[in-house]
Amino acid sequence: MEINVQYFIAVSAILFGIGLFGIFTRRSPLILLLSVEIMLNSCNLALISFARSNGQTAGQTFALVVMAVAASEVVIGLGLVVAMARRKADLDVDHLTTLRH
Amino acid sequence: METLAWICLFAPLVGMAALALLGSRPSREASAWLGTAAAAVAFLAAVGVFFELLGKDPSQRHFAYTAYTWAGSGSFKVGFSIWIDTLSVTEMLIVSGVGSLIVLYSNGYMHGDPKERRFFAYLDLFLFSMLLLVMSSNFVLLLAGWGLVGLSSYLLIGFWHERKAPVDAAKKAFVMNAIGDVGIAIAIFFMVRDLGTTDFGPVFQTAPQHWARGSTDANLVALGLLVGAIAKSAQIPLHTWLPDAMEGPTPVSALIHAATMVTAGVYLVARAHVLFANAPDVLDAVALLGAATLLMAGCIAIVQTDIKKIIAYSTMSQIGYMFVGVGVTAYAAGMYHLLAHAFFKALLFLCAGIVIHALAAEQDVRRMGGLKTVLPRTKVLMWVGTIALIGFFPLSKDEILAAALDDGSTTAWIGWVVGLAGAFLTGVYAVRLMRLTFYGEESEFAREHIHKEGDAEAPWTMFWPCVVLAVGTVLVGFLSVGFGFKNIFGDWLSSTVSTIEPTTGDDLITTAISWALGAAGGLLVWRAYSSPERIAATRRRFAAVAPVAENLFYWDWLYERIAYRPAAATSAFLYRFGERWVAWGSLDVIGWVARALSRAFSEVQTGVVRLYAGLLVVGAAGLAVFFIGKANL
Repeated sequence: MEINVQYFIAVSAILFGIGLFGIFTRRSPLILLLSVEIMLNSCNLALISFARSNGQTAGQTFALVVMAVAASEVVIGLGLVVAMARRKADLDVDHLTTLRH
Repeated sequence: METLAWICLFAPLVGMAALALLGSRPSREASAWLGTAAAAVAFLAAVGVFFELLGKDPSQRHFAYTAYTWAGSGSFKVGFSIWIDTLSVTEMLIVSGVGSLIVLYSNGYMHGDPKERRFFAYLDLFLFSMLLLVMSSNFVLLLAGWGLVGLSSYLLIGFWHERKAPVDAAKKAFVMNAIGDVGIAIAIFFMVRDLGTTDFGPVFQTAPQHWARGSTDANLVALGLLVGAIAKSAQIPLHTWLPDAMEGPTPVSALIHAATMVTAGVYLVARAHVLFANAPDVLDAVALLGAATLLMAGCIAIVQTDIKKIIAYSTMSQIGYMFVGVGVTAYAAGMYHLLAHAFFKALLFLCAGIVIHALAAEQDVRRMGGLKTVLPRTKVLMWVGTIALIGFFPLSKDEILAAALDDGSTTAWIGWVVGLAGAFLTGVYAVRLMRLTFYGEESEFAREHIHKEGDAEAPWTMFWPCVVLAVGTVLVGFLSVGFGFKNIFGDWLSSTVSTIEPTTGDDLITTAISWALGAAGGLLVWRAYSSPERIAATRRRFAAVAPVAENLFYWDWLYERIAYRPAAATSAFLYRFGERWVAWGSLDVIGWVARALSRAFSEVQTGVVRLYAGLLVVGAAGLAVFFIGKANL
């Protein structure tokens, strides 16, 4: 049975909204990374849905690229979080403003 | 011949480039000799070209060589090309020959100057520019040479730029010469528009067909060239830069402001004689301006007290004779006076340089006097130049005047009468210069400052060029004597420019009157300066008219009021309102706005990541709304 593409897009939008909500409401860098991950995957879902509905493979290929980027980002982000935790730094993104200049 | 001609043109440029690139690596002496060698190579090449041309049949004595197309636009092309005929070879010999002697003289004169190397580089640059001017085979390249000699003249007049006077003089010369450059450029525009070429050959061939004799276009072309000629040759009304140019070192005055560059105007009129013959009114103006200048400059020279300025006004006056010559279509006679003048005027300047050198840079003739005992050989050499200047021998000036008498038109008559009056003035100022410098009581100043190291008046590098020039002055006199003798110089030039061969009777009358007036002027002034009472009496007699000459006929006064002050006032006005308010003000406003905007936006940069994310979302949402709205429309 063929499910209509709108449903996939709706799920993708909901996932994106959850991720965004997480970014705005939480201050822990770890949760922020999780939220970003959710948003990236919602984008992947949208890409794949459109690719399938249009009968093309480009979107699916690009989703693989996004996954690679997301994996790299998580590695660096988690590394930073662990490094900061080891130094007993204040793990609150609102207070981490010294790199603005 | 082609190779030799190119060597002649480029040897000085190579010398200049070598001096400029080597900088202070070679010793001062080596640099000076390098500069001299470059000039000497050019001279030897010019001599080679001369003999090759001499070997050709007179009707075949013109060649044009093109290196490459220098500039082009559609069918209009300007070649980097040279033109070899008897006229240009004559100029090449004068420029490189007299030039080599003066560069050699500079070895002694500039010895010990802190900027000695640069001086020789400039001299070589000048020689290249001047050779380019006389060898070019089209008017555009001629104008390039014309501008380059103006540049080297500017650099050399202002050579001692630590003092203000040379800098001012250099600027004045450059600005007045720029007026002349514009004149020539306008003439070139006419050629490009109507003839489609500026090459000498086609221009002279087709100009009389395109521009009717005496028509407005023909007159404007000749007038444009005339403006260039009078600016470069220091004729009324663009003459006031030449006396100021004496602020440059003496060899520069001898080379540029006596022997070669200032006579370029005469060369231009002779070169473009077809265009001038096509505009008889302008040709008359050439002769009349020359006559006016020779008389005025002669009067001013009598009251000058600076040894170099006396000779400078004398140069102006003698170029006036040349203008009279070419103005009455006696082209070869005018060129002959140019040749003789190059020798004797360079000689006079170099001798004056020896005097100045011996007197620790003093140039005021009133502080000289009685130098005949300390500078006996210079005195003899300077007498040779003085005799030539007054016109006893060579008879180059008389040839111009006899040709004018033979021509018989009103203009020519004016030129003849004024020229003879000028002969009297020449006798007065030339002998006055000798009298004040070498005779009379030895002055206090001279006794104190003359260096008495043995009997050496000057190093050999300064003395021998003067000897060569003195011998040359006499020898040149035999090239064209008149009185029915063979006119060697006129025959040589006849394949390029014509001349008027005066009758023996005209020659006799002119020479007799000119000799008598010149001698009378000399004797009168000699007597007037024989005792302090006589000097005072002479001064009283001329008290009414002397101020006119002393104030240089008020030309500088006039230009100060009609040119300098309005220009200075305009630029001060533009500075105050245009520059300060509009230009600076608008920049200030731009900077102020940018700063205010950046200050406002920098408030957003808090470092709080969530704020950035929020702004990102707002921006993305805004863009989404915008594009979706657009798509629905």
